Amino acid sequence: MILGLVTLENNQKELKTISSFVQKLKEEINKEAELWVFNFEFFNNFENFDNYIEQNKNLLSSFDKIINFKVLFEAGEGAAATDVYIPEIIENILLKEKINEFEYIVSVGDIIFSEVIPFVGARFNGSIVTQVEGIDENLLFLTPSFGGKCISYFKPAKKPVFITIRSFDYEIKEGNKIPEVNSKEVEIKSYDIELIDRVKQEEGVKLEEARIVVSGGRGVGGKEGFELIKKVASLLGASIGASRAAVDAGWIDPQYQVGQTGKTVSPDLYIAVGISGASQHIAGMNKSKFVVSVNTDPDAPIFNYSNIGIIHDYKEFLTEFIKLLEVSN
Amino acid sequence: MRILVLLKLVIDPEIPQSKFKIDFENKNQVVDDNPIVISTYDENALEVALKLKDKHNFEVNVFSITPYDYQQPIKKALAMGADKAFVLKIPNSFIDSINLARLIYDYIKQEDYNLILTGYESADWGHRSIPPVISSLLDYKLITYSYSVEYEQNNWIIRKLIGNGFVVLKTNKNLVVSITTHQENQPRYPKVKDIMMASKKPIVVNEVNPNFESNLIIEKIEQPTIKKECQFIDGKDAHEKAQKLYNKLKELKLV
Repeated sequence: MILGLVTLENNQKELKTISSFVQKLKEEINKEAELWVFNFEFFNNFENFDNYIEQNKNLLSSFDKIINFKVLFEAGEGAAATDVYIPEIIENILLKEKINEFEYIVSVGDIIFSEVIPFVGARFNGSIVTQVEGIDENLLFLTPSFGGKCISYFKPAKKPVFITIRSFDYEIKEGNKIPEVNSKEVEIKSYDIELIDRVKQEEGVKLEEARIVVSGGRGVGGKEGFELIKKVASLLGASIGASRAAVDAGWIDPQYQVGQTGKTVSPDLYIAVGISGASQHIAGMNKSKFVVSVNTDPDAPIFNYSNIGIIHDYKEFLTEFIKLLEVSN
Repeated sequence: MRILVLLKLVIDPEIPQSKFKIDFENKNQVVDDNPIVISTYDENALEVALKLKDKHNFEVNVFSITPYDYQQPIKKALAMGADKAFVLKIPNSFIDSINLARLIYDYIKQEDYNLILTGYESADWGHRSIPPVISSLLDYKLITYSYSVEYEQNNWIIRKLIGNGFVVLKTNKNLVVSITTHQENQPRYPKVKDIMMASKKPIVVNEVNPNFESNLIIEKIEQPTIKKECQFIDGKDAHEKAQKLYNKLKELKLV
């Protein structure tokens, strides 16, 4: 049996990822699959689980059975349900369930399950395979290593196999049956981690999720140069990015670093400005679908990884490019 | 309070492509004469620990389990301000996260650390599993992908990045926190005086030849080539080149 885990907060893209992965796994091992949806009472759709199923029915056809796992709050006085730290609660629940009866336990590697899955997997002495991007015909699991320079194939040696998926592209077959839906309730009576504040920061489009990324490197030459990069990014609805050299120079905050020691991105369009193309940086952006590079050095290695190259001073070039974007907007 | 920082030592990820070699038979990266460094986020984790030491004078030790020459990176950690270093030498082969965490656990379980810090992802395998697995074995609380830890009125206060901002979490339990990079935790540069002092600090070295049943086996490793055919855009000036690029991106529906 296969067990999928999500929360009600996982979006449709994440549901599609887990569902297509489970479908592929079912084709390999021909076992039934169950989906547990963790449903905290402060989530938006807590009372509307039928709507949730209706809205997502095309994405749920890989599962034979769905459980609406209602998490109710019974903690002491002065405490509010919204104060809980979700991964801690889900870990506690899973440790009490008989999940070791499942052979494969699968989730997306989001902010909750990337924490929960290895934690629980260790307790059950299973195989933990994280950041999975593929399954091959021998049931080996593919994950990127050395910051994306290599792909490694792993064979689980223990059951259950605990999996988090980094990304997975596979056609989901339209299901002709809606899976059976059951409910189960659990009560939270105590917890050790308290959520005391939630702070929103306006930082534009999130780097890892951006459809377009405009990145600057050493060639940008300083903080002022990044103002041009930011301008292009905002006109394109893109996120900004940077190479390690630009981050180390202090021109931009480290959370924007793309590379083996930074973020890995896979946008539809990656625009590399003043980036020479050290292998460290390439590792973080080589999954981009289309790459445009602007550099004054015709021998810069970045051109080996680019679809389009522009040999020009970036300031002059971007200033002209910005004018065109402003007109079209 | 006692803090332990787990430092993974890796072959410098910044080496040029020509120096990056894979031993396909042993399914591992070839060391050659490349420098061994502290994995990036682990340096950020050490900085978080040292900030706590600066403020509260907590003890900060570092621990590394490694097949590599540890001298330079461990001395750097001591020069940055760690009190004491523990090194556990292992053979150079892939060990899955559960078995690796068990080796670490055997050496630290008696020590009663209150806080264990480490990077959220290593620069080599990048599985992000050691922090959750070690907390699970120790039965400590776990918070990943954070950028700062403070101590106020007997509580740890942790700031963790989420989609569009951060959350502030509080606990008085022993815990493991994995750290990501942020402007607040950029590793300090040791001063000459600190480097001199560091040579007097203890490095406790042990060796283990582990005998275990793997939970996860690496079967093969591939290094795909990713070269693209680059088409250069010509033009008499920046305006013409920009226009050509714009038209091309428009045609491909990328803008």
